[in-house]
Amino acid sequence: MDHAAFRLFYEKTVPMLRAFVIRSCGSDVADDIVQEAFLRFLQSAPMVKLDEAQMRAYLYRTVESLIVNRWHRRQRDERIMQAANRDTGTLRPDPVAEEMSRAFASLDPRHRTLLWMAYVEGFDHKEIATAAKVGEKSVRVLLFRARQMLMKVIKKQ
Amino acid sequence: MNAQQICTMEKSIISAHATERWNELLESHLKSCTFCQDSIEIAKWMGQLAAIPEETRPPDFEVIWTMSRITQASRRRFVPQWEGIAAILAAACIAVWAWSPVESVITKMVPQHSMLLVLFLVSLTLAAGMTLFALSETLDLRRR
Repeated sequence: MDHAAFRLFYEKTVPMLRAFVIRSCGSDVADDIVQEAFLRFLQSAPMVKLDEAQMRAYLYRTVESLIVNRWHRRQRDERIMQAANRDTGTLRPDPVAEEMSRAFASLDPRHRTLLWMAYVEGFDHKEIATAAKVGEKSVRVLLFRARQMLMKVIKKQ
Repeated sequence: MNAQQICTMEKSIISAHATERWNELLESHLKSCTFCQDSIEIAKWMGQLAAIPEETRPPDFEVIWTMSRITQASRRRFVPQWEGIAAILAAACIAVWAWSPVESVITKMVPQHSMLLVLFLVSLTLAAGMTLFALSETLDLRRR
């Protein structure tokens, strides 16, 4: 991928991908994760030819794995988690936005990714299956569960 | 409703919701389908969530691009190290595998009792070569 193509792809992809990372794990680490995901993408991109949907799917898969890794690290270090909670609490002056972000962050990481890919990025089940590295039938089941979890959260609000 | 009863109209309903282009069929379906009603609610909620404005700008793409170039360049420089080691190992393997003909050639040139000395010298040269190679690679890595 050359410089111009990457710029185009980056500018098109980064807003939603970054928003997803911020909603998932807070703004304090989001840019590190986004940067790392794009770096990994660039390092592996010349090896394989992917279409745009596959490239986005690759990025979401990378981002999900980075978020999960960070989540595990945070669980081990309670101090960092508390600092992050304080951070997300002070960064968003809009209480509705803050509550929505917290609700979304409370979901299982895999559910978050599936919901985002399906309802924000507009991926179909096949694209989600590629990104999540599962079969299409499994996507239906997982997405159904993710919807149920989110509906519970929405109804609580 | 279970996962196997996912509504096949969902995509059309979501699309109609996003574009605000409804037709009678979709409208009447939406009234009777709780799955699609939930889908609309989820799509609205997710849309609002995605639209929350960010206070900071994303990382500069030039930084990411430059970092990837640097990483790739250092990887390219790193590759010959493994190739060199592989070449030395391959040469050593071939020497061991083809030792009998090599030995017979040497035996013709030098007396029988000197063979141990030849073997010792060959091993010494190989070991010295590998040590020098490893040292030069280590120093080169430190410079980077």
